[in-house]
Amino acid sequence: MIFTLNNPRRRLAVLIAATAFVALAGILLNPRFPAWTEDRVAPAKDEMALDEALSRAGGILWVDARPVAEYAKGCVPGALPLNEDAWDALLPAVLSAWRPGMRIVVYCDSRQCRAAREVAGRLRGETGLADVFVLKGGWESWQRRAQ
Amino acid sequence: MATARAITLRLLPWIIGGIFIWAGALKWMNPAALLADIEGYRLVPRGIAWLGAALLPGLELVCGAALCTRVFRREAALILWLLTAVFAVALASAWLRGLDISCGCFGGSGARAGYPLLIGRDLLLWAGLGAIVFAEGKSPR
Repeated sequence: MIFTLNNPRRRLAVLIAATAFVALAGILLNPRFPAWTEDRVAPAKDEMALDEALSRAGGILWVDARPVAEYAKGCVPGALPLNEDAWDALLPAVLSAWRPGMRIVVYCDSRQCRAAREVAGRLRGETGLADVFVLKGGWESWQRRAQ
Repeated sequence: MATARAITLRLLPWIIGGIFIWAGALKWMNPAALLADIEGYRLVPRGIAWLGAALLPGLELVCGAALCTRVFRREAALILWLLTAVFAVALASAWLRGLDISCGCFGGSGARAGYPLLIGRDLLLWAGLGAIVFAEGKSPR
């Protein structure tokens, strides 16, 4: 029997099979393909896992990159707000609280939100502070720990 | 007018196909960013998001290339037409919930455009793909 492509269902099947093949190639051959579960994903270079941050206790300055209204509803104890909307107004308090040797850990809602990364990048760029990290898992990871 | 329409319908699959090939290639090269972007919509659990990050680049690459062929054009356009519809709904949902997301449209670049622009761009693609599906459905095979 000769395989023909006259039938739309066969053409769809070919496309789906080709997609599955490319997907499999990506999973097997791409070294950057992420792990199935988040626990197996190591923190990125500019990230700090919650366990590590808590183990450093006094040496951490927490910075909350969420909107101030969210910060007011609840935050990591001792965290200071700093976001791009009110950068100039909020930055002085962060700089006053910082002491040499402290690591700054910035967080926003979750692992997916970008605000923490943007605030961390801007802090490094404008203040010259090198030890600025993003909390892996964000505020969600803190809340999960608290439950 | 008829000539302009005919030329447009001839060029459209190539243009849209090229866009999806490019988008798929960018996604394929940075799957971790794509996974993070899918999770950012907070619509599916991580397992489903992981599957999406595995399948989406391939789907865009394969269907983008297939759009440029005569044999597979209608089926590829149909798949992508449905995909862009799903994407528009996901974007609208994220907008309504006030989520701060990266679109993930072109390789999880982190570029955040406004929601209206993102949805508008997606609907434009959706309309173009719909035109291809309709035109291919009318032409003889």
